[in-house]
Amino acid sequence: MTRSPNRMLGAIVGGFFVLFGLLGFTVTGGAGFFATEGGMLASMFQVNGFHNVIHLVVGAALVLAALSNRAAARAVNSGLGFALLLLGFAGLLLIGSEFNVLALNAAGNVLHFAAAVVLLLVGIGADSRVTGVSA
Amino acid sequence: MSAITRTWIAFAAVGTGLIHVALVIGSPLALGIPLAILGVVEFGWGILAFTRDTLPFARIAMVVAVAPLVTWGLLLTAASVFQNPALGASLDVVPWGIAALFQLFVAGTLALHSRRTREGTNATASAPSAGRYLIALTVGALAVAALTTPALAATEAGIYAQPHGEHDGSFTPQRDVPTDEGTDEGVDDMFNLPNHEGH
Repeated sequence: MTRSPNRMLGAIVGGFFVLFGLLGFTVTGGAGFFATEGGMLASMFQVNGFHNVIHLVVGAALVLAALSNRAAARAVNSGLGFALLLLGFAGLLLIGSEFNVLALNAAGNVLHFAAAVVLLLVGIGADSRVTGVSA
Repeated sequence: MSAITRTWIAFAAVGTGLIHVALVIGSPLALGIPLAILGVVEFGWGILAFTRDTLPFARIAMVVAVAPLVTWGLLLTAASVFQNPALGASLDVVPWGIAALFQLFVAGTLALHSRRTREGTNATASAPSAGRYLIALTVGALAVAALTTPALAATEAGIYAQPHGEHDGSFTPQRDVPTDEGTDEGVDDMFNLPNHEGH
């Protein structure tokens, strides 16, 4: 795993997502599952039950792919990176609206964008024969 | 060229592209159209560079990296010589200067690589370790984001952008915030129509 950037990144980012998902449940006790106003994680990131479940699923997918093999890690990093990028753009429109079922806020959006860029770029840039990184 | 250097060049190109596209807003049409094309090309080239082992179109990229810098200098001179404040205002030093830094980095690295290849002193780049590559990629992303963000904020588009998560109808762009100095009462009166209570 330490020889593949995609596997290493998938394990690290996936681990963070799983941790966020688990910790999220400690602050979303009183909020509804799809509530637009959720609990605050680390006093910065707003989450609700649905958001926590998504974090757990995304994290588990990244970690499992990282533990599996290089090609799987690369595919999952690229795919979820792109999905997070779309979520980041959607978040710009959803914040403050009644359709904000993930209880997104600005800090969470920044985190989604950051994770999206790193996952996507490592996904397309590393572990391929073309780029030579960890070929 | 090592994968890490290639990644940093790609990041710099993406940053330059974003700044050039943002500069289109508020620029004269004759400057805006080339800027839009240049920005899209730089952004696309940066993304392509991430996915390739060697930098695509390296010689052309070197020229494209230097050309806007020379053009900026010429336009600044022209704005000063011909006393054209409108043109001068669209050549703000913050976004153009930061884009120039990125361009110099891209052109300089490409030129160095080109010279080493020509002289045969270019050592075969070994693939970096996964950890080193990830750290370098993160550092590059943070550095480009740290420079690109103030550059975008200083553009006309950035000045009129609303703070994240605080979108509301009463937002007043920084440039339009009324100040005590220089209030033109004549202009204010012009919009205070009799018996008009506002929108």
